Amino acid sequence: MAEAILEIKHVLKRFKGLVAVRAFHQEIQAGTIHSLIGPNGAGKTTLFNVISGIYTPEEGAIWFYGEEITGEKPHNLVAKGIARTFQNLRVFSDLTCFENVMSGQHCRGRSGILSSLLCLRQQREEEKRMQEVAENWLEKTGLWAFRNEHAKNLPFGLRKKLEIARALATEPKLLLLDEPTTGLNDVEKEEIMTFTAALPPLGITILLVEHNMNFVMGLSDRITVMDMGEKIAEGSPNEIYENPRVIEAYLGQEEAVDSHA
Amino acid sequence: MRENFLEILNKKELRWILICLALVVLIIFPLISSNYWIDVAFYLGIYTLLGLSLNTILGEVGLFNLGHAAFWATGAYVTAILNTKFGIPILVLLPVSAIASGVFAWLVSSPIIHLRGDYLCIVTIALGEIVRLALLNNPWGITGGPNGIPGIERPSVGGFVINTPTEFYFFIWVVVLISAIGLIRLQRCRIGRAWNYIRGDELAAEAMGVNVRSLKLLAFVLGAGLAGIAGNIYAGKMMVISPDSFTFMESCMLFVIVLLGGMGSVPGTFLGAVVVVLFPEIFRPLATYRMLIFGLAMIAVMYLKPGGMLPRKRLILKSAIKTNE
Repeated sequence: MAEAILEIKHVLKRFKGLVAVRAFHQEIQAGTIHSLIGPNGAGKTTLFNVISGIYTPEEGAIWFYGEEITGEKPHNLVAKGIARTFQNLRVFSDLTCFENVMSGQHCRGRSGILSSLLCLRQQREEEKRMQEVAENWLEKTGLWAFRNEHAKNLPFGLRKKLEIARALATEPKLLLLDEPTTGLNDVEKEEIMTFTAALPPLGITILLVEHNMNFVMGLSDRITVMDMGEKIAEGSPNEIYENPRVIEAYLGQEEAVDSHA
Repeated sequence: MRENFLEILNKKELRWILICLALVVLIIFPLISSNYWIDVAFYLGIYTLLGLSLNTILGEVGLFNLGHAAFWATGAYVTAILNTKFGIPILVLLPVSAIASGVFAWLVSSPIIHLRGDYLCIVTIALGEIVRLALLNNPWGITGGPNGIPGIERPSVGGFVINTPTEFYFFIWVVVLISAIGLIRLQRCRIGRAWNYIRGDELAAEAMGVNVRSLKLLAFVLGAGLAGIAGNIYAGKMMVISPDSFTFMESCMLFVIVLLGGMGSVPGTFLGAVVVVLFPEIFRPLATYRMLIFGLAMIAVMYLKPGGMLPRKRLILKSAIKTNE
């Protein structure tokens, strides 16, 4: 439990003049659910993009399982075991659910053009193995019945699940969930929550960004709070709940809290 | 009675019957047609092969390539130059021109492959024009300028020379069918799916572990290689090639074939080529009006069926390896 799966070391990410993430330092322990919260514009999604390799930080480094991964291409990071979902859905809308989930298995395959053209045995076996993993996650996310539906025809809630299934099909060790419950109804939120809670026992560490406090407080082992690109607090859900700096970041200055009370 | 018969056949069987029927027509056609129509069918084959090659780039990966004639020209000119200057047999040059076109595509697309949509479109238009103008200006005296290169040999294997329209007809269509089977195989594997992921959402594809850059380049190289093969066969048939054959208009026609047929659809590309090549032939008596009608027909198709005439069918996952549904 005490092993750090991901170390974010003093990361700074700047867009022209705007510093989106500043001197951010954080370790994520293996087998935990770690939440990242903070007001809009706090730099949470930027940090996700830095971890998943979409952005390269100006300063600092990212280490994954004791190996530096700063500046690696996203597709290499997926192969190493970091998968993610997107805040604004990015499913492949013209493809079927099954094909969507199969995309996760791409990085676990090796066969190229020649073995596919010649229908080699190794290629067929690989294809079968990939299909089994995809089917497994389709089933576990409750999307099996929709396997041949085009993703664009699915309702929002199912597309959200599809993104998670797709990320899980990469067989990740670390899963980054960017606002997994935004836009869902209560039943769907509950489903995602139960589903997420079942992932760490399967050896999947979770780092998530979320605005829904029930979700964050009920699920997280650790919480990190960000504001204006900086980390302002870290702790267990209870510690965070009582932390004055967090309350300030969410509700404003102390006077504001007073006058409100 | 007939309806019952159709009901008994499921879709898959129906498809096989259609394919067999098409093959029979392909084989019987030259036996009952005039040389003129056999030649038309040969050009239909060339355009189908070019359509398939552009479909790999434009249809599968969604890369807007409006300069595809450049790769076709590369194949044709490599064949023509090596054959007329060094006497290398045309059929030996078939793989050579495919590789030359592929390498050329790799060189020119590497620096521009990250461009998206309309930007890539503009750059490839420029690429097509650069190649055509370069050929026209006869660099180092090897392309023959506006007159092109005459005196290209016929393809021959052993003592057998591919010479008559019928022989060329079978030559091109065998190549087209082999390519089509290969491309359909690719659609059903890891590479083909990854191409479709890139077309769907580049960033998501990258985030799912697809090496977007190298797979885009692969599509470009493969598509250009097929176009190079088309160029080789074209040069062997024409015996003289000139830059006139590889204009921007040709690239547009190939683009239309893919869009009209359906992006990423192999049967669609066949149908698109039939429409684009045969339509002007059939309506030849209408003289200049035929292109007007052709344009209107194209607008009508795109309006009524925006996904193309035969949109790509996604693979259906049959029930369960193990589930208890």
